[in-house]
Amino acid sequence: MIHLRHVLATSFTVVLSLVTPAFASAEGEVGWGKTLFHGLNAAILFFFIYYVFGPKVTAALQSKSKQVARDIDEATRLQAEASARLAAAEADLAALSGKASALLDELRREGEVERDKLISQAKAEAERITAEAARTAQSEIARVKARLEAELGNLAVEAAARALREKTTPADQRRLAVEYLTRLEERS
Amino acid sequence: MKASTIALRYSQAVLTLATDRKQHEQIGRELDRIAAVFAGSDELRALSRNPKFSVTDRKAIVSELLKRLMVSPITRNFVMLLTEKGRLQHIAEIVAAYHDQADAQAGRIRAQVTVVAPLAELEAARLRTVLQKMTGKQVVLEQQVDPAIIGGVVTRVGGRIYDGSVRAQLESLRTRLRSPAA
Repeated sequence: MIHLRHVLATSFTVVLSLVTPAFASAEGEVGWGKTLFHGLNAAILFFFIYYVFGPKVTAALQSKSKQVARDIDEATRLQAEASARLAAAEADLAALSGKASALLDELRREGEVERDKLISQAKAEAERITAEAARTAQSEIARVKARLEAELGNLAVEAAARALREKTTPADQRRLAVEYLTRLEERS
Repeated sequence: MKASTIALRYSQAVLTLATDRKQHEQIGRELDRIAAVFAGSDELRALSRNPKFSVTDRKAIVSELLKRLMVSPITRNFVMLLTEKGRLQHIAEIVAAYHDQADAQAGRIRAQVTVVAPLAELEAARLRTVLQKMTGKQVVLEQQVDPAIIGGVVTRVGGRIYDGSVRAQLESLRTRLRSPAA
């Protein structure tokens, strides 16, 4: 970079030194001696400038170059750090996603267990209610049946009592008394 | 229980006195008549129980009653004593206790026989005989008519009941019809 810059600067100075007298001679007032003089003058100026300002410019450029290099290194470090953080964040995200997935799975399993439990309980309760209803129905049927039988029995007995009161004659009464006495005599 | 104790105490006293005078049969009959009069009269039962009647009023009415019934002095004095002591409402129970103790004293036992129609003499004698054989005592039959038994005979003697009534048979039938095995 420095050599290229030197070559360019020198070339520019030489061309400029040569061209200026050429234009002047074209007007017919200056000769090649002046041109050479001016060229030499320009060369002295060039070297003067080069030796007076060259090191400072070079130092400034080198300092700037080093700063740029440091900035690039810092940027590279920051990029690496950011990449590392990104990787860590992605890892954390992946881990979190795994945990969330596991948690969801666990919750799903627990939900399924709870669901199965509730269904089982509901079935048991339904069976219990059904059995209870069946027992109640059977009990009610038995109760109604017993009541009907009792009512039938009562009606039959009342009808028999009415018939016996109407149909029993004094002879029947005596026969009943004799049968009673016979049973008592058998017991005595 | 208290009434039974009262009845036993009064009946024992009058029975002892009547037995000493050899009038226990007569006194028993007189007491039966008095108990029957009280059983058949709401007014007399009210007189024996209602506290608004004074002892003097009660004694006056009972005295008049006993005069009309022409009872013996023992009976008269006994009933007047009951009136004075306020025990007239227990007369039926006292008379029953009197008969029980008189029967026990004489080696007798009473049998309450419930029938639809009074037993003929032949059946009554058979019943008396069989009951004497069962109890080992002389039996006095007391028949009472109750159409509710429909037919047959119910005998209560010595704390036992021999129920041969049609009503009892119908009740047995009713029970069998109600039972699940029927």
